[in-house]
Amino acid sequence: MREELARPNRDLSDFVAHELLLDYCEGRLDSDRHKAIEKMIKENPEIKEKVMQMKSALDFCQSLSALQFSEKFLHESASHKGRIHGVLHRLSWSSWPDSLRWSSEAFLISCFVALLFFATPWGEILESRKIFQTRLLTSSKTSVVPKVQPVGAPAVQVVEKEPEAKRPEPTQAAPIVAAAPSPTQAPQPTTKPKPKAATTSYLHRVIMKSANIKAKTPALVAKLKQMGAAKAGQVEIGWRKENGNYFHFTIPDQNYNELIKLLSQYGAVRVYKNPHPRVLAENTMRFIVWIEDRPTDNEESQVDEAESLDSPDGASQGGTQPGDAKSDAKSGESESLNED
Amino acid sequence: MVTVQQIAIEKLSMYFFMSVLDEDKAQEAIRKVWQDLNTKTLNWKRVPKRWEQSLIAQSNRVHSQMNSVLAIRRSGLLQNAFIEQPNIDWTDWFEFLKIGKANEVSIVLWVKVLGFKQEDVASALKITEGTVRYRLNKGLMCLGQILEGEANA
Repeated sequence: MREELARPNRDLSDFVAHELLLDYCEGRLDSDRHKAIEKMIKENPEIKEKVMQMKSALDFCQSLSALQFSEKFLHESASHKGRIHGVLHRLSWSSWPDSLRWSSEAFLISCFVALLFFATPWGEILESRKIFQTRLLTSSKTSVVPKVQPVGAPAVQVVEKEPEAKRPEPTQAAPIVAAAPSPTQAPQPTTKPKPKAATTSYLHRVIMKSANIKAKTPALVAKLKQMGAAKAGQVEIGWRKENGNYFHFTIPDQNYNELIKLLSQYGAVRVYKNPHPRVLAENTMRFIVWIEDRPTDNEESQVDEAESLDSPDGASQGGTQPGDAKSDAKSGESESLNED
Repeated sequence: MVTVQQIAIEKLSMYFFMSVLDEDKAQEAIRKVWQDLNTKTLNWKRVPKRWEQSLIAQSNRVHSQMNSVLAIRRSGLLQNAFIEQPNIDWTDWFEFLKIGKANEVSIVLWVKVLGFKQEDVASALKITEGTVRYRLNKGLMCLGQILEGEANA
């Protein structure tokens, strides 16, 4: 009978123990080394921890080995799509590096902004803006009437006619044509006549001289108001100026004769009838009466002078009918009355 | 009946998918390996005895060639649309891919996850079985540390 030789137990070094941990966990060590590892596990907590880690790693790999892919994935992986597909896949947006993608995005955005800048018709925009500003200025001129203006018709009509006179100019005509609904209608705004209502309204001007008109004015104003006179300008009826009084009012046309009679009590009456664009209510007449102070000793001679200024086109003295009096723009130019 | 081709493509898919955790990149590499295997190396009509070695060698070559393409993404979500078990937590494996050495990770994959023999792996990679065992031991220790939380601590 053969007896086994007694062998002394050999201790393993840490290095060897670490190298044998996988074999220990897989059960591939002989009995002596197995015992030696077990002895080290009991004595050395670090080896024990390593064994635990190794076992958990093996279990994790075991769980991963049970992984299964879908048939679709396997089929797509095995299918041959050629080099073109590979090149296209490499060139696809998702395959680009992040830095390249950010750079290309920034480049595209800057190109788009630059194109937008150059494609925008800045000249036309600026030109239309200038035209718009010009129109705004024109409209503001027509709406705000200055307090001191010459009485003559040209002073009034300049404000209205000025934009029409400028329209045919080539710099401003083009945008108007562009804004028109059809090209055939483009020239029409330049030759468009004034509104009919503006030409059918009239402004009646009366210029008189009377002694001590300042004192007489309150009574005259009261009588005018009795006739239905209403303030037509910005100042009150009978506004006092340096050398006379200013009466700007509207009155029903049925009281015209009565008004002329009333005014004739203060001196010689002369009515100038001028067309005016301001639209009046029906059966209403607008008057601007200027009564200038006259020294009492020269009263007769002043009346004679006023008679000599009578116009030859039928502007009557005292009792002129509204429909009979014709416009006298030329004579109005010489007047110094203000329309307030 | 599951053919050798089906087993091979499944192993190949698993290797590349778990190497990069990206379906698109994995498929690109798989197609290349599969094409090379079909045209150059293997004739599937007569099943070769050592098809595993050819598979491992070709995969290793393609992996080296496409190293920049198959780099692990530092960010981005993993899409599990092609995996039958969608509830797998890939956090630890992702850490292992980032921390572990590439040769140790691939040995762990070939041997412990895909179940290839160590001698086939050694032969395909032209290294000794001792080296395979050494790298396998180191790789598993690294993975174990990650799983037990030591690496993160």
